Amino acid sequence: MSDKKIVINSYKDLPGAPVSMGKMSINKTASWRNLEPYYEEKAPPCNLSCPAGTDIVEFIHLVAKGRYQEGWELILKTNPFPGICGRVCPHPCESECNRGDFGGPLNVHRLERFLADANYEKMPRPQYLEDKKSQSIGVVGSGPAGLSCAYHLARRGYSVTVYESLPEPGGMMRVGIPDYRLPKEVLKHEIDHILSYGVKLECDCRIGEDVTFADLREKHDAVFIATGFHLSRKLGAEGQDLADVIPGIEVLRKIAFKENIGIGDRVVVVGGGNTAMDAARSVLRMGSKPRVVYRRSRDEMPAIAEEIEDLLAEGIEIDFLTQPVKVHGDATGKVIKMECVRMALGEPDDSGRRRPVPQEGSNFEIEADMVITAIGETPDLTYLTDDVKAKSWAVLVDEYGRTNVPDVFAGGDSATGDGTVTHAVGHGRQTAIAIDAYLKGETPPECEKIERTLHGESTHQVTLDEINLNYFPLVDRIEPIGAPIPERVKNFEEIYSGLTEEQALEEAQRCFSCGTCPECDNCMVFCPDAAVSRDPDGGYKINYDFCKGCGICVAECPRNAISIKLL
Amino acid sequence: MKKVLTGNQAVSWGVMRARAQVIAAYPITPQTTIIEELASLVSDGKLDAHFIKVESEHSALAACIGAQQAGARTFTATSAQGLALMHELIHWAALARLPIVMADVNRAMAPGWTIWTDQNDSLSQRDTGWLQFYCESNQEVTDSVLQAYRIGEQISLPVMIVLDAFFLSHTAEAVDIPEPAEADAYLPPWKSDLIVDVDNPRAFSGMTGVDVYQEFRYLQHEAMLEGIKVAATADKEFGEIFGRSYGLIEPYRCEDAEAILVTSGTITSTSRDVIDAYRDRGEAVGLLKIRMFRPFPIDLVREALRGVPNVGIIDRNICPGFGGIFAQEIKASLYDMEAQFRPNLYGFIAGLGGRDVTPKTIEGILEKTLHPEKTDHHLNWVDLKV
Repeated sequence: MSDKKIVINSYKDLPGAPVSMGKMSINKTASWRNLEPYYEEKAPPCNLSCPAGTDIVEFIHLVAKGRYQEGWELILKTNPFPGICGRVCPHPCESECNRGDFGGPLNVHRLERFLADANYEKMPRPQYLEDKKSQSIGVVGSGPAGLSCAYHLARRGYSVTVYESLPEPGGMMRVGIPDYRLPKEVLKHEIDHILSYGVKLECDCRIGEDVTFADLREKHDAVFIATGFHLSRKLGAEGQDLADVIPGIEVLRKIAFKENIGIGDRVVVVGGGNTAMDAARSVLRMGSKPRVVYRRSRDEMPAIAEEIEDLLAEGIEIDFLTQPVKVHGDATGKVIKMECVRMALGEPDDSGRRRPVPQEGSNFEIEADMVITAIGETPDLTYLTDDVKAKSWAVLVDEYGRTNVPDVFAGGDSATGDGTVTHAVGHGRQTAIAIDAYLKGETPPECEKIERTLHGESTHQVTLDEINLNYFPLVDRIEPIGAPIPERVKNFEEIYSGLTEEQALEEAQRCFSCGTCPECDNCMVFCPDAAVSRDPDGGYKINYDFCKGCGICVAECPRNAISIKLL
Repeated sequence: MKKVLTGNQAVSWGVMRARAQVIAAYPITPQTTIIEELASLVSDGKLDAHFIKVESEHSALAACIGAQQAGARTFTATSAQGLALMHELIHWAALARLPIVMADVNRAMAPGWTIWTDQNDSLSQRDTGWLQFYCESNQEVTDSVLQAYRIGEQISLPVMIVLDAFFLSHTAEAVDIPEPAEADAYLPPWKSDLIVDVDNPRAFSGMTGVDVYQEFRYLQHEAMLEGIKVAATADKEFGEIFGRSYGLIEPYRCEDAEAILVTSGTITSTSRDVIDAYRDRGEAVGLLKIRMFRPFPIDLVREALRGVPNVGIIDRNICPGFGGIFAQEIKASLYDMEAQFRPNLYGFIAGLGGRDVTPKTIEGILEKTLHPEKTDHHLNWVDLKV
């Protein structure tokens, strides 16, 4: 406090209006504050729900700001496949998006794809996180889990070799997802990026045949098993061994490699998952007239909702609550029809879905000259050495992808059965971190667990009622229209185009940025005490000498990035 | 650039040329079309300003006070009950020495509920420390808005531009809109040491003790008096640039007049015709238009009326229990004049609640002023239904 006393002897000594003559910064007006606001970024639902742990809210910020290369590189920190996941991910982030009830969820997957498309011509220089190391890792399987693991290990300086039994890499991304959903050049492009890190790829090398698992462990300091689900469950009905009863994944694989398969005219596809949808739509494109039979109702179908809608839009019928009983063949063993029984839904089973129960006397026949089975896939783990614990459906791993054997790790479908590229990418990265820790002698006891990317310490998931909707217009989600149905069923061309730049900007600007600060300045503008200022290091700072704890900044933060606490 | 504009549009275009930065207003007939026009000008990008929608006139002026205190040039507009609702903040703006400009479209006070013109709303704000200018034409409205900013910003006081409901506000005339470059040359950006500066935080409008409150009032009063000279200069320089000036008062054909009518607002233009007709037939009558009401240009009024035998003052207002308000002001201004030069004064109340004040009405008033044998010195009701 200044000890200089101001004496007014004349009106001439006064300022022009009743305004203090000195600075008032000596008067710490916040002395009576009993509430204190503080910046606390919270978890956006999209980030919390991404199986690959991608910082979704941040890449949307970057799209909105037109910083496409930075957005793409941000995704590449967690996921080497933005072009692929931008097309095929079932996007749980969108199901959780707080915009869901306010114009429709952000079109996250198309924004992700936009970033990949926008940067397609660029191949970034490898960005190693650590120095080169002498240790090597063998990755069995070049699907999304294997390649993700290889990528994240290579970024950490390890020497990685990926073994692939098929002639080309990609796993299910190559042989399970048809071109109309994922063009092969996109796959090749993103795999090439991984290989640019020096990852070695040995195709046509089946573990257990071309090299033993034991030799592989001998050759490498650690082994990652990611061989996926490439065995199809049998139909479980009489006639299942007829020649024209073919697993869906085999059909898709042959189509992917352009092998000739004698597709029938009337094909019945059995199953309600993505393989069934992909197989039915693929044979449709080859001139067949497929129909799908599924033993439960539409609500229980495990396939991605959009894929079901597209299948129906393409004119393929689904017989719900229908179970095959017998495939009838003629004298030469050729399929002539399939006998089915109608089902009714009973009590929920272990999966929580209602169990289908056959209705006696409801049998009927469907004309067919080919049956494609897509009722579930299992891994082929016959190559494993006995010391690695596994069940018929999975290698047993902990949450870090570690098996009971220190140098053997596993992930992707062959360990978890989660069934999506994005989950596999997440497992691959988690296990890469575990392998890195193991090779550095840091395990046991614990290695880093990948979390969904957070912007702060808070894991609180922001909800719609925490968003200040006064700041957000009700704008509808932007959805590109696919190719016309009559056109798309003629070939395997990609159905959906990407977003234009204009659309991407518009869509990105719909984002609430739940819980994360895009520096909108609202807090600074509204603070009645001018106690909020921009922090030169980014974000804002609050001058607690003058913040009276009124909470206006908290109320006017459009996205709940500021909290307030009692002192 | 000439455009055909209503009086209200003339206000808005003046505000645009003045480059007001913050506009806050609440709609009320007959003012509403001022802010509608301004809202359009802002949304069309013709005026780079923040247009703040508010829930009352009180909030409108509060928003202007905040913005002006933060350094912005501001504008608001209102009428009648809206102006009355602002009253607390009208004092505040003047005592905080914020040169806000407001347009008041004169509307009679309710009840009885009315939207037509008289001057009681603005004259009720006489003692708040705002400058007041009463306009006669749409051109004068536009020009007065620019002058208002120029004057107010020089003496740190708010200014009210007053125009008659409907007779001006909703009547179109040709208006010569000042060119932007010329308007900018006439009215440079506002600068003040008395605004909020986060790097130099000071306390504004805080507790003021008995030791200095009176001195602040003295300063305000002195600034008002200074405003007479500043306004005269501002009007003269306006004339040099734009070729139009108005004076603070305007004596019209007053040479050797036997009788002079004193008017304000649109009654003035009607009175000009009556005076012309009398002069044409050789009668020595004149007109004194009062444009600046606060500060009241006492010396100019005394000079204009010195030695005139009879003066009739037409008031479109009433101070109940006393009389016409302009008459009061003039009477007080002339009281200490030497007796031989002091005119006989006659007060007339006419046109309340928007009633037409026609040439015939004015002729009647002029006759009563020329031949005042039966005319009351203090108060005469005109066209009263008795």
